[in-house]
Amino acid sequence: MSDESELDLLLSRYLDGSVNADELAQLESRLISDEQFAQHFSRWCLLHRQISELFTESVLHEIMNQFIQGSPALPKKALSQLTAANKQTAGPMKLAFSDERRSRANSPLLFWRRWSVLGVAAAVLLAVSLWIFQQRSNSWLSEVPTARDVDVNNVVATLTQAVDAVWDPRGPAFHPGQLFCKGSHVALKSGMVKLTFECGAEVVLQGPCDFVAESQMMGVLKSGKITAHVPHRAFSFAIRSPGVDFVDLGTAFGVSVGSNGRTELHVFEGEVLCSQEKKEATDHTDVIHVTADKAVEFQSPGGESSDIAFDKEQFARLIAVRRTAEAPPKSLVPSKLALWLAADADVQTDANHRVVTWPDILYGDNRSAEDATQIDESARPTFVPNALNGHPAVRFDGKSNYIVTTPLETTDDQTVFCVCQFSPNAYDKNRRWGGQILNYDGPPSREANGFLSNTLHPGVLQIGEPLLAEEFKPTLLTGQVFAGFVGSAIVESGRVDTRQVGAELPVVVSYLYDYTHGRAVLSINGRDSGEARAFAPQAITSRKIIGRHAWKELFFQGDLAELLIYNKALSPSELADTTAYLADKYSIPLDSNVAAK
Amino acid sequence: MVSDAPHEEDSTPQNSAVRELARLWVQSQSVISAYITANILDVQHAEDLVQEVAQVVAEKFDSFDRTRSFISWALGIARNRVLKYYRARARDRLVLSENALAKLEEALEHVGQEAEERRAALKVCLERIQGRRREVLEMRYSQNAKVADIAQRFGMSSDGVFVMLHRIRKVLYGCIHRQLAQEGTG
Repeated sequence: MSDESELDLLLSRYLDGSVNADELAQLESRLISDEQFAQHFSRWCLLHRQISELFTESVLHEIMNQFIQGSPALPKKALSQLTAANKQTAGPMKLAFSDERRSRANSPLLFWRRWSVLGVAAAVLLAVSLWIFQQRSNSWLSEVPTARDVDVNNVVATLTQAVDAVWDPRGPAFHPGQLFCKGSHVALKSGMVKLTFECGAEVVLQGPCDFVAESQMMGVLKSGKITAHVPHRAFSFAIRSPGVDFVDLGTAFGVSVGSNGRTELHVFEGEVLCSQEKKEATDHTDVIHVTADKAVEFQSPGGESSDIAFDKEQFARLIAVRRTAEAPPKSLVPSKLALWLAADADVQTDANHRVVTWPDILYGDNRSAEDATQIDESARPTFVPNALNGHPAVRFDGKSNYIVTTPLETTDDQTVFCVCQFSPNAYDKNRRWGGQILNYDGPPSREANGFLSNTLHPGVLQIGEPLLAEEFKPTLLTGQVFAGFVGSAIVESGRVDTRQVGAELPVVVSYLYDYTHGRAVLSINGRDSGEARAFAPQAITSRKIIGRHAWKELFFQGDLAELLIYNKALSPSELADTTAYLADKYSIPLDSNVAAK
Repeated sequence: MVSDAPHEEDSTPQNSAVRELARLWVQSQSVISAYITANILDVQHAEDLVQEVAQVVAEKFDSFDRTRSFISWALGIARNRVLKYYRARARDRLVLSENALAKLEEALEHVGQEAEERRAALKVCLERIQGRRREVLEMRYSQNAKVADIAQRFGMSSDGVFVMLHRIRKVLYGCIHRQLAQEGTG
């Protein structure tokens, strides 16, 4: 056999994925050193691709013809082929957008997509690519049935809670998890709903209420009653009413606008600046400062203001929508608490016991509620009353379940606690990739949207099983901050692998990431399982994903009873106290060495 | 405003850029697809990567330096995606090094000018593959079947299927060459 023929055979073997190391080295050597051979190689690549395109072209022509003609019956062979192909993509490495793909598995859009991919009409590919680009940018939105088109850049708020909500039949009905874009109109007939703005401001509406989510920093109350709780990071958040603008100066307040235009403001905390519209161009704008425990009313748009009796009680029901820890345990550290989810605290479910909203409990420094929601019914985890040593937990099926918080500000130093247990299915023989319990790269994922090049700054905190097949062991717990790539190496800061904790064995997991002092520690039931160097910063305001990876379909398979996030590295005593509290609450034995201390 | 009314030709800079992107992508797509398909064994994953590259190209087109070759730029993006793919999942095959991939890109950029002619010639040549060889080829390319499955279907060894696929490709390659030569002399 001639040298050329032998190399051609190697080319074929490369294309079929069967080349061995020596053969590959031979190919590479020739490819790099011989320009003519490089072009020969590239022609083989073209041939390989074009055979595939031409074979598929005829089938797709048939499909497209029938689709365009509106035929109800697609060719069986073609459909089964596409279905089979679709099954191949159902692996865990599918991009997160495969949720969208799965939901459209039998839709015309899929046909359009495949049509384009196979290169029959390159121009169509561009159009579809742009469509895909839109879909990917909005992938986490695409699962949301919106009343209007939602542009990822225009999201201003999330509907995080609904209590007996009845929507005005003249407007759209919404569900928790709904994302609102600029100018979205919310017409509530009765009941209450909470909107969490992207800036962190929480606005609770009581029906009947006519409200517009105007921007990330502004809502317009046309009529009805609301309360607003505004965290420091949302300073200057504003509520506009027909005659008065209320600008937050670090506050909590209530506003009611009557049908006759009479407007009341009651300030619960801090200070609100009221700015009245001018009646005439020559008038000066009236600005009034209203401080805590004070109230004012405006009789009509542009009319005079007058002090009235402060009445917080009339807003009591709205204030109660935000879940505040009633009797927090003394051993739970209040300082720098950022998120507290407990399955025994008002988890809101649908008729099938699937979790719609998991409310963030307000306690200590956790003064803004970043509730976790899931609008997609098929992705909702299940609430199980007696899941974990007799305590309720949220059960993730390992296939499609996850929930997402509203944007939560987290810092370089972090301490995370989880009380969880893996399900027996975690040991399914077909599992080859790890699932994640917590991931900070919430939608829109920076990595999935192509913002990741080499190093990812800031990094992404992740807790769960090791993702990659070669590292995966069921129920083995890992904590790390993913910080991108250097060459072909994955940069993992503070990565600590513990042991396989087993199935149906509740554990208290703590992951301390002390960027300030350069160390990370992962502990199970109070025992340190390892320590690693924490060298990557990770401070970010992002949605936190609970139950899956940000863009890979790698899901947690088990129960989560409690999750706490602290914006600091807890001291050893704080760590021990919190661990002991959780272990005691859930009757989980601490490691004997720890308990002895 | 009636949203579905026919639009007049829009000559805004944005639309102009979209048209330019469309033109360049149409010219380059076959080469980029060939590059990815050659280096990613799983057909569906390869398709996903082509989509990803199209997405990134569309996203970053504003920053594309018009003095550079578009194919070269897009192939560079494709290489990054391929390498990222290798990193993100266990490799199911041996793959070219980064240097070799770069060399292949250069060559593909050059050969890309022939892509349409080669495709048209291949269409003619494929008609000449008949019988069992065509069935094997169809199973491999149309149904994305694994070699082992093809071997089982036809009662052959896997090596036998590899060899048969190679010989068919070799025949097609030669046929394309002759077709193009005839057109050149015609």
